[in-house]
This record gives sequence, structure tokens and C-alpha cells, in this order.
Amino acid sequence: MSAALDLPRAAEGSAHALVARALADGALDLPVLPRVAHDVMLAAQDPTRGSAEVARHIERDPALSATVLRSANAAIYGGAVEIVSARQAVARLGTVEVASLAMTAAVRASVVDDGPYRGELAQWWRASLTCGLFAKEIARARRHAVDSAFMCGLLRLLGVPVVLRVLARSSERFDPAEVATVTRALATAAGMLLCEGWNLSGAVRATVAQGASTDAPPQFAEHVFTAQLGAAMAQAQAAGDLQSAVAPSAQIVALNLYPEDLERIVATGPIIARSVESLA
Amino acid sequence: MSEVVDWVVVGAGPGGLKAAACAAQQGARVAIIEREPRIGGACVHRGTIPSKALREAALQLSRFFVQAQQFGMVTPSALKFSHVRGRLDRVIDSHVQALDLELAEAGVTRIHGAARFVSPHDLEVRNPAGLVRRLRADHVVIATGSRPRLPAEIPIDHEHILDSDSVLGLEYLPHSMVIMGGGIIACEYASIMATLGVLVTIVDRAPRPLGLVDADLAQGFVDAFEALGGRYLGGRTLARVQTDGISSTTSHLTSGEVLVAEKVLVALGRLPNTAGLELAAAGVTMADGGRIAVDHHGCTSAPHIYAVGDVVGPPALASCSMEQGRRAVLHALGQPELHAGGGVPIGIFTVPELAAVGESEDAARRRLGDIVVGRADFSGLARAQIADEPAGFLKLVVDPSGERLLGVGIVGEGATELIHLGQLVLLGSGRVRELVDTIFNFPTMAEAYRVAALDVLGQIRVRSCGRADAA
Repeated sequence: MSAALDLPRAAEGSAHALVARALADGALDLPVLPRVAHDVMLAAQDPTRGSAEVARHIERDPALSATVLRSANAAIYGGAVEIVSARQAVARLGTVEVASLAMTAAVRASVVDDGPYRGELAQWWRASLTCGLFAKEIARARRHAVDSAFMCGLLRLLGVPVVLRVLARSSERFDPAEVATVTRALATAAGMLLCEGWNLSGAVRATVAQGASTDAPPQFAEHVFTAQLGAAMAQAQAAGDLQSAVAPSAQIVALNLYPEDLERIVATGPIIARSVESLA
Repeated sequence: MSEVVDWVVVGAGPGGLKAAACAAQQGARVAIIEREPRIGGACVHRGTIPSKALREAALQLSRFFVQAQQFGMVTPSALKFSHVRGRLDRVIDSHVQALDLELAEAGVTRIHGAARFVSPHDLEVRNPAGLVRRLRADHVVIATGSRPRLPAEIPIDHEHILDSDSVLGLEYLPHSMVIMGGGIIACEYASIMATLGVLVTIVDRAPRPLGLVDADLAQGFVDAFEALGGRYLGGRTLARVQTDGISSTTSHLTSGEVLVAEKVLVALGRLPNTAGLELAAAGVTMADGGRIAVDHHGCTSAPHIYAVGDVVGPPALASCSMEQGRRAVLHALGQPELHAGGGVPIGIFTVPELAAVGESEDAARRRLGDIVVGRADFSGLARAQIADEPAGFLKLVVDPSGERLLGVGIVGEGATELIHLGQLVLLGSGRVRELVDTIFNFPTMAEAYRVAALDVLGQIRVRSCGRADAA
């Protein structure tokens, strides 16, 4: 598999060369997604297993339970009554929503650490959360595939923490600009490795594989474009100019979004910002 | 600068496509404007075709699972929805390809974007890329269809509380679903979901669902639905859906009942799509309920502008929309409209199917009093037994003399096809005797017509004997 990787060339000794070599050699210390996250996702997708099983899986892992409860009580869910148990969370939010929260918590726990690039990781996590939430609003405006949009947006740049992990192992500390460049260049290849390792869905794989490319496979085109537009909106919101993301683009055309649709999505910006504050 | 054509058709659903093709066949320069990237309208992408394809896939799958169990095979539940979705996409793709080809062969120009009138003969089209085109036409057909009605009191988020469009975006099968509404769309989705193993509860104000067909036909649906584990809660009104702005789908009814389900589907009717068209600039007046007012030719208050399909209101059937599109063009061109006879058949793709044409039993009884109703139960037909589909019946609604057919109602698999035979009799002689004298293939479901007709003749004989005895 590693021999098939077609990676951009760079000077020996650079951050780029370090990560490219690790990818090509398969010498990656891939973060492990907790088994419980897999179990939760599988249980949520199987109508024969029921919501009680989702709650049981979450309760197996105290750290995961705590994070899910914190997320379930976040502003975006707006509940008047505090959620104090995984079972209550499932009853209130539904199995798919809680499974999504569990997966989000598991991803964060697996990839965000206190290493030398914690600033970059925190920034990536915030951008990913914002992207996921915007992706969900885009899917809602299109009234299609709302359930998977958040996860596609959240995991779109899943390769970023893998690249940062490789760099963190090196004794050398790289310049932030160089780190950003190498991350941009190699995140897709690294993300694909993690998709395989974590056995992620076809829609998420397609979203990660495409990066910013608009040549998406037809089966998952809407997932890819939704996540890409979500990322553009997340970036624009971070820059304080969300309106700049709604100028006609390949993604907006592909998703057939008219100005009135985009206005509705933009209107959710402040809610998303508040939600990211409470979830990040 | 405007592009000049003879006809502009706004909306590429069944009515618009038929109007465009009909005008092009007359040698006119025709442009058709569609807001979505692909033609076909809600019929192809969000309504008729997807729901029927889903139904067929659900039936295939349920039969497969029954047989797999009989052979002791273990089938993964995850197989269910991926199979259904995949089949749905293939059906839509192939139908859109066929429509594309038809338009191309007719020489119709396609324009992607949202249209608005800037004057009675001028339209502006803006696509999502921001490109603007202006068109000038002698005639315009508005065929913009309809969208689900979203009651203000129900917080539809298209994720946990769905409408009849967003239900097609589901990516997994929910464990349970509450369906608000007892009309055709509600009952069709209720059947599909129940067949796929979802616990479905229908809630509606009416004591029974499907008010547009006779009670015995509707009961056929209810019986089959309940056999699949579904529940019909008639005479109920929704007080509120408790969502806290998210996903909890706890529905509180005014009766005090509380229904908890993973998803809620709201199917409480549809509204015409006229927003953004700026019809006032074209001098087109509106009727009640947001519909465009038209005469029986489909002509609006602006003599060169026609409106067809759901945008003019009921019956909101694809078959009628196509016919309205064809007639509108012929009327504008001063050609005979050649009205199709035989009435408009109703086809309801529940499990099992329901179909009706002509006068209903209820209506005929109100109008004529002592009518005759002949019935053939499918369980008595060899073909139904062979196909293992013995549930259902066909009934003939006949005038009091027992001679003239007034209407046909069918419940059972194949009902939507079988109804056309009755429609042709209504269109032709209308004589019940014809169904007895005609030789049908054996064994076929069409035999039900002969059995029901013989039942009519038998009842007439009994009545005659009774009258003779009394005399």
C-alpha cells in the first residue's frame, strides 16, 4: 500500500521529507480510535440493536461518557433539563445524534494532545468542528443527507493530526509556516491511511480523499461538496467575513444552492460559533 | 439583450416537459427553465418515481428476507437500506436519461436556473453561479410544481422531523416513525417503512385514512398495514412535537396520548411553488391557497401565459399534469385539444396497491340509491394463489339496472395496472355484459373483472326473482 502513495517531492531533511518518508514507509504511529466508538456507531446504525445498546457502550467508558454528557448539555441542543446519563442523552437526542457525539469525543481524545504542536491541533479541531456544523446546516438547507454531513465535515482534514504527530516525534522543531505547508500538502494522503485504519464510511473516505478537489465520485459528490463548502464557511467565519464564502463557487453550483438558501445557512453562523465554544 | 423564443416553459416536471415537447413538435422554438440541475421535477426526484421505486425495493427485500429465513440464512440488517437506496438512485438516473434524450430529440433548449417575470413576455433566469439570462417569448407555460406544506407549529429540521422531500435523504432506517397525515403520500411512506421493519404510527384527524377512496378500499390498506405492525390513530390531532429544537420526537396528541419515535414524517399536503416568479409583473392573478388561477384550458389571467400541474391545485397527479401541459399548448395554437375520456384513474402505491376509476360506491349510492356492487375476492383467483398474493378484491360499481358500469375499485397487488381495463370499459361501451362475454387469459388477475361482473348479473337475477315473487 505504501508503495502506491504518490507524494510530492521535497528537500531531504525538511518537514515535508520527514512526513513523506513516514507515509511512504508506512512508519506511522496512527492514533487508535477507541473500540467503544466503533461499537457505538455500529449499534446506532442497526435498528435491531436499539438505543439501550448505544447507551450501554458509552457507559463502558467513563471518559467518553463524561465528554458525551458535556456535549449533550451544550448550547446547540438547547435543552431546559440537564442531561445526567448516557441513557437520558439517547432518549433526548436520539441514538444517531449521541453516537455522533461519542465519535466526535473519541476522535478528539485520539488525536488532540499536548505535544509541541498543540496550538496547531487546537486550531485544526476548532476549524473541523465549525466545518462539521456548517456542513450539517448546508445539508439541512438542501433537505438531504443531514445525518452524515457533520461527520464528513468534522473528519475532512483528518490527516492533519497524523502529519503533526509525525513532526512531533522529530527532535527538530519546525517553523509554523513550514508546518502549515507540509500539512496542506500531505494531509490527504495521511487522512486516507487513517480512514482505512479506522474503517470509516464511504462518504467520509471520499470527503477525505478529495481534499479541495472538485472531481468527486458521483456516489458521494454531495457529501464531498457539502464538507468543502462547510470548510470554506468555517474559514470565512474565523476570518470574520462569513459572507465571503457565499460568492458563487464550484461547490455552491454543484449543490445547486441559490442566494436564499445561502442566506439561511449564513444566519446560523452565530449559533455555530457559540456551539464551537462549548464543544471545543 | 434577450434571447427570443416562441415558448418558454418554467419548470421541467411532467407538465412542463409535456408542454415543451408538444410545442416543439409543432415546430416552435422552445426553451425550458429548471431550477434543479436535472430535469424531471419533484415527480422524478422527490415524489412519484422515488417513492414507487422505494416501495418496489422494500417489497423485493421483504420477500428476500422471508425466503432467507425459510432457508435458514442469516441476513445482515444493514443490507436493507443500502440496497433500497442503491436501487432508487439507479431508477432515477435511468429515467432522467430517458427524459434528457426526449428533450434533446425534440430540440428543446434547456436552461438551468430560477426564473422570474420582468414583464408579461420577458423572463430573467439566474443560476447558482450568478449567471443571468433574459428570455422573451410569445407564450409561457408555468409548471413549477409544489412543495411539502410545513405547518408553522411543527419544527421540521429535516434531520429528526422530516417532510416528504427530506424523507428521501434518510441514510439509515430508523427504528420507529410517526407519520402525521392520512393522505396518499403519508400512507405510501407508511407502507414502505413498515415493510422495511420500521415501527410506524400514522396520526390523522380523519377517522380513516385515504378519504378519496371508498371505505372498504381504505380498510384494505389499514388491514395490511396493521399486519406489518403499523398503527393508524384516526380522529387525533397533534398538540405539539417536543423537540427542544433538536431530535427528540415525542409527539403529544390532544387526546393526551404521547408517541415517542426516532423520526417524525410530516405529510400534511403540498403548496404550489410560486415564490420568486414575480407573477404580478406578468399580470397573472392568483386563486386561493397560493394557486395560480386558470380556466379549463389552463389559461391564466394573462392570455399568453398558461399554468399546469400542481401549481394550479388538485388533483396534483403526474398523469393529469402531463395532460394539462399538452392541452395548454394545443389551445394556445388554436388546435383541437382532444380531451382524454374515461375519467382520471387514481393509483395509490401502498402495500397493497389501491386503485379506482369512475364513480365511487359512496358517490353512486348517494346519486342513484340502490346500485349494484359486484365483487371478486383475489383469494378465489388461480393467478393470485400462484403469485402468493391472495389478499385484496376488485369491485364493480354498477347502475341499479345492473347494465352500466359506473366505476371500479381495486385493492391488492397489481391494482394500479389492473384498473386500466375497467377504465377502457368505462371509456367504451360501459356495458357490464362485455366483461362476461370477453375471453380473458387464464390464469390472470384480469379474470377478477369477469368474476365481479358475474356477481353483478347474479344479484340482478336474485332481485328479478324477488320482484316476481312479490308480484
